Formats: sequence, structure tokens, C-alpha cells
Amino acid sequence: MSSTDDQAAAGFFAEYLLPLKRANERRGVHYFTTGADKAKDSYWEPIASRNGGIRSLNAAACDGAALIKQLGDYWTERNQVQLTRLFPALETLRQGASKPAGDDQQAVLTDFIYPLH
Amino acid sequence: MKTVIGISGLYHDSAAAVVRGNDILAAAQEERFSRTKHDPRFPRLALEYCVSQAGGRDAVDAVAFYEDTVLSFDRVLKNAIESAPGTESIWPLAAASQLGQKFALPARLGAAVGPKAADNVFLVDHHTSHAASAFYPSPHDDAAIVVVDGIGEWASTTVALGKANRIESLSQISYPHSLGLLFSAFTYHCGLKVNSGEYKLMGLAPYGEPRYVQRVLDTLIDLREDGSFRLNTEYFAFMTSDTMTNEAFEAVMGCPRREPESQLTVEYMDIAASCQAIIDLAMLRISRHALKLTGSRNLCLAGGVALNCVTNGKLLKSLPEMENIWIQPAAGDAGGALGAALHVAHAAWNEPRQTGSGLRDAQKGSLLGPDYAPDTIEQALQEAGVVYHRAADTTDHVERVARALADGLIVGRFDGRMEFGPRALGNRSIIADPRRPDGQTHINLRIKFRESWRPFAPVVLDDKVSEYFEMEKESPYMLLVADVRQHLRHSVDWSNFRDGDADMMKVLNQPRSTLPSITHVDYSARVQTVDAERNPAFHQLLSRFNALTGCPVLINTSFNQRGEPIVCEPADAVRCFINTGIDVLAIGPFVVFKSEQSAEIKAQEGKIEYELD
Repeated sequence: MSSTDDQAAAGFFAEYLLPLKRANERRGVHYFTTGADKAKDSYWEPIASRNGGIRSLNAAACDGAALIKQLGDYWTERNQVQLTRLFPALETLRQGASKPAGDDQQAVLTDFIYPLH
Repeated sequence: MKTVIGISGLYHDSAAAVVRGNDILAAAQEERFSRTKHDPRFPRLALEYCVSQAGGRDAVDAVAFYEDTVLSFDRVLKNAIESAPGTESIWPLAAASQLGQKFALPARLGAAVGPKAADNVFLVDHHTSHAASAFYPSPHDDAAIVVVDGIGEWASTTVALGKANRIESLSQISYPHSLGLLFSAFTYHCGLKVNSGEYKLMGLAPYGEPRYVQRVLDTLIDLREDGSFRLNTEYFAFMTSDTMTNEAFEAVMGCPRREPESQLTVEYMDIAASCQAIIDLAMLRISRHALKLTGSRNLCLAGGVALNCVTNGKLLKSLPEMENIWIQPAAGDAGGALGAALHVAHAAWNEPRQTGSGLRDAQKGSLLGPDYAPDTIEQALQEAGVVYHRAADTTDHVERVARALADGLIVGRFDGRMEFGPRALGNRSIIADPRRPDGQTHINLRIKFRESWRPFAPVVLDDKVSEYFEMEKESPYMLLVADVRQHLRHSVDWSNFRDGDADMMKVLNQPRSTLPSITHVDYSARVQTVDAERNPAFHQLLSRFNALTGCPVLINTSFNQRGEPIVCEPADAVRCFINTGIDVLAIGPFVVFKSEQSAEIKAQEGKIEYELD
């Protein structure tokens, strides 16, 4: 990843993600739980899947722009309005991040950053 | 019948697999070809191999990736937001990985497999891929399926029902609550490498006492009777950094993270034992829940946690409601490639399965990788400049190798198709007589160049397994631990261990059974059974060794040295033979003795070093 990409990603974080975090805090919105809940009998949840486990893509739906659009659609279906507002900037960030997927790129990743997986 | 390629990758353990109908044609992990351990890159070489096994690109109808990249990014982004501002430093890496690589992947897949398959690109959910890898190749018509790993898109644990050629996912536990991440956190805390050191943690556990179990249950994880659980994320750092644990975790465990490669103390052995006990307990409850929920008496497992063969052995002993267990040999992410391909075949194109009583599984002994013709092998031997012999026939070859083993020599065995999955099952294996008192230390130090506290696995003739081990069922994929039979054990002197120097070598150097090299300090063994159907050549060799010695058991450890992927090509095997203390190389129809090599060849031993794993 180039320093330009880094800057773009850092800018996206500061301009969009941090404010959304603060807005979520004000509204009491959380995307996941972080600890025990004694009120619950069980922690088993329904399956979270977009498509019942399998999704077919035709060639035209395979590029990054199409996948970003699918993500936007997914948020819309779930009424996650604040996230859908990220969509244009996210697509711009994706375009900046896109590059030929060379075999050596993966070397930049630490092998156990689970949130990156 | 349709031909489907499956791909896993861009995290760790990239792999490719190809199926035609319900027939698994081939599967291999990229690391074996690229020679980079746990290679996470797009599996270009493994894919090429699978395409060749399919008969070329024109023969491929579809390609499947083992993850819904869109839903994964949904989780990555939401984690970045939820855990902000702590995620500020890792977000640029996440953006590059997800948006730059994973979102470009489906198009890349299409291009890689050719125009015909490019019109049929599938994204299969990560845990659906794992579940498919566990159920479809199993011999069972119905099964409870349990998938447990670090993380998929959102799911870390999934329970599903498999029936005929369908899989129905039923319930899940979601990120950040994960048994895989919990085990990795302990692996990290004990100074071992995450994503590869988990196996060492399991091997370390028998030296310790699980005295931290209640403390862990009171603080780190809320584990319910039905197997569901939540982590307390205050004690973990993986959501915001490139480390697994934080100071709060260290405070709970009462010690800092162990410095990698430093002396192991009783403290860390007890932590390993406690972590293993927690995983055992959680998996027992999850499996019981899954069996009850599905009404099946068969259990299929996949996901990285399913490689914990100690836990698997305990499931086998502790679940009377379970009749059969089948575990995908490539239970980690590599196996997701196979599962994704199989799921497209069955779920999208309705390919039937073949199941029924008396039928073996469809995994083909997991011998799904490349094999090499004698000419290619001979060329590698000649290029290395070694002295070698060509056996007159198979019987002659078996005789020479079995006699070498009976004489106490250590053999590198390279034969037939390479295994798919992290375990060597005989075709890319180092084998030796387990009765040799110093066998474990000798192989560890002269061949594997690694810590000597890890036990070796035994391979045993399938009809002899119950004579030596407390195990009545087959274990063809080395995924079940069982105890060595009582009458074969020798007492172990643990005095001065916990209160003294905690010297594992003093324990290890005691003959713990009549088969000391494969008996762990708690008398357990990671058993592989070999039968004449799945691997007739290896079965023949072990049978001949038994005839010569009266012992139907051999040490079986992977053919590599520490930090190196298991050998794939003949040249890899020859190089490993020359670089290590292996006495004999049995490769295809050839036999190579170290004792016959020139001084120049012998002087090369120990010259090549790999990055420590």
C-alpha cells in the first residue's frame, strides 16, 4: 500500500468513520456485543448471511464497483441508513485502493490481524 | 457432471481444489508449491495444478471462493467504527486488504479459470464452505455439523444440519466472540506464533495443570450449558491492534506474555493446560447442542479448532449420543477451498452424494495433491548428485525400506499423491521405529530442528489399533488423540518438575511406554490408522515392518524441517534429506542411503535454515 493510499484511508477514517462512531454512541447504536449478558439464556443467534450461504455472480457483477454496490444494497435492506451514507466516499476509496493484485501484496499484512481478514 | 474449482486465500493457508460432480479430483495448498509456509497469497500455483487435473480451463464450469467478501468487509468496517479510535492505525491496512485485494478477487478468479467458468463465479459463505468440507465428503447421509474457527464473515461458530446433498445452517456465534480467537490469544500469550503455534500449545498442555480454568470462565469467557458463549473483549486486543491480548489479559493470567523461544516455565504450561480444558469443555457442549438440535447421531467437524485432536479425542469418548464422528482433514482455511467447490456442486447444481453403511468417505485418504513419475524423481536425484538405487519391484522396495526401519534408521518417505491438509499421512512423511528410546529427541533435534517437547504421532495398522491404543474406531487422518494402552505404559517420575527446574527433557527422556517416541507425557498419542484401501503402498510397508519386528506401529511426522512447508516435489524431498539427519530417502521406486553419500553431500547437513514457525 502506498503512502497516498494510506493518506486516503486515514482521511476516510477521520472524516467518516470517527464521526459515525460518535453519532452511534449518541444514539446507542452498536454493531456487535462485547461481553456477557446475564439476561440472555443463550448466545446462539440466527445465521447472518446475505444469500443462504451461496451467491452466484455473473462476469459483470464481479468487479469491485459491483461488490461495493452490493454492500450498499445490503445496508439499505437492513435499514442501516448511516452506513449507506458512506457509500460514495467508500467507492472513491476503493477505486484508489484498486491495483493489479500482484502475488507479493499480501506481505504487508500481519498474519493475525483478525479484523482485517 | 459439472467441474468446479474452489479457492481459499488472501488471509492464510491459500489453497485450490477441484471437484467433478461429487468426485474430488484434486486439492492442494499454495505453500507446498511456493515453499512459503502458510502462504496467504492468491493460490496461483495450486490453481494451475487443479486446472491441469480437471483437464484444462475449458473443462472448468465454475469457480467458487470460500468467503462472501462483501459480508466480510461489512464486519471489517463495522469493527473499525465500533472500536474507533483504536482502529485508526489498522484501518489503512484493512482498506488495502479488503478493498484493494478481496474486492478485486472475483474478477481475478474469473480471469484465472477461463471464460467458461468466468460466467459462473460463486461466493460461498466461509462457514458454509467449512461445513460443506466436513459433511459432503463424510460417509454419513445425515449429520450435525459444527464449524468453529477464528472468524468467517461474522460467524465464529456455526451449527448446521447436513442431509443428503443439502446443508442447512441453523445458528451461529458471531464476532468478536470466538473460540479460535481465544485459543490464539493463549497461543500468543505463551509466546507462540498465532496461526501456526496453536498446535504447539496443544502439545504443551499435558505438562501443566489446568488450574486457571475457573479464573478464565469467571473473566474471559461466559460459556453457557448449551455451548454458546461470549468473550469479554476488555481482555483482548485483536479488535484494535496487531496483538491478541492486552495488559488486562496478562493481569488475569498473572504473568506477562512469554518471550518467544525463551524458557518455558510451569506457569505457561498450566496456562496451556487451562486453555485446552476450556476448549474441550466448550466443544463438548457445542457438539452436544448440535446433536440434540439436529437429532442426528453423526457429527461432522471443520474449522481450525477442529484440528485440535486432543479435543476431538475427548468428544469421541464423552458423547454417548454420538455414533460417528468425521472431521475434515484440511479443517483449517485451506479446506474451505474444497468445501466451496463441493457446495456449488451439490447446492447449486444438485449433484447427488454417495453415502451409506459400509462406504468409506469420499476424501480418498486426503491424497489429493500432485504425484510424480519415476523419471522426474530420478532427474531430481541426479541433479542433486546423490548415490541412489532403483528397487527391482514394489516388493523389493518395501523390503529394503522396512529393513532400514527395523534397523533403527530414519526414513523420509515420498510416494504417490501429496496429502491435502496439515498432516502428513505417509506419502510425504518421516517415519521411524517408535520403540527407539531416543527417537523423539533424535528426530526433533537432528531432523526437525525444533523444540523437543512436542510428541510425534504414531501410524498403526487399522486392525491393530485397539491393541495399542484406547481406540476402537479408525482414525485415518490423524485427527484423534487416544491413550496408549495401560499395559504398555511405564511410570513417569515427575518429582522436582513443578517445584524444581520444570525440565521437560527429564520427563521426555524417560521411556513412558514400550513405544516411547509416540507416547506423550500424559500417555496420549495422536493416532493415525492406515488401511489397505486408502493407502495400499503405505499399508504394505507397515505390514512388512510388523512382520519383521512384531510392531505394527511407526512414528509418522511430516517430511520437512522446522519452518519449512511439507515437501511437495521430488527436489524438495531430496533437499530436505540432504539438509537433515534423515538416514534413508524412499522416493518413488528409489532408495537413497545417507551412509553411501559423498563427504561433500554429507557436509551439507544443517546448512539450510528456515524462519522459525
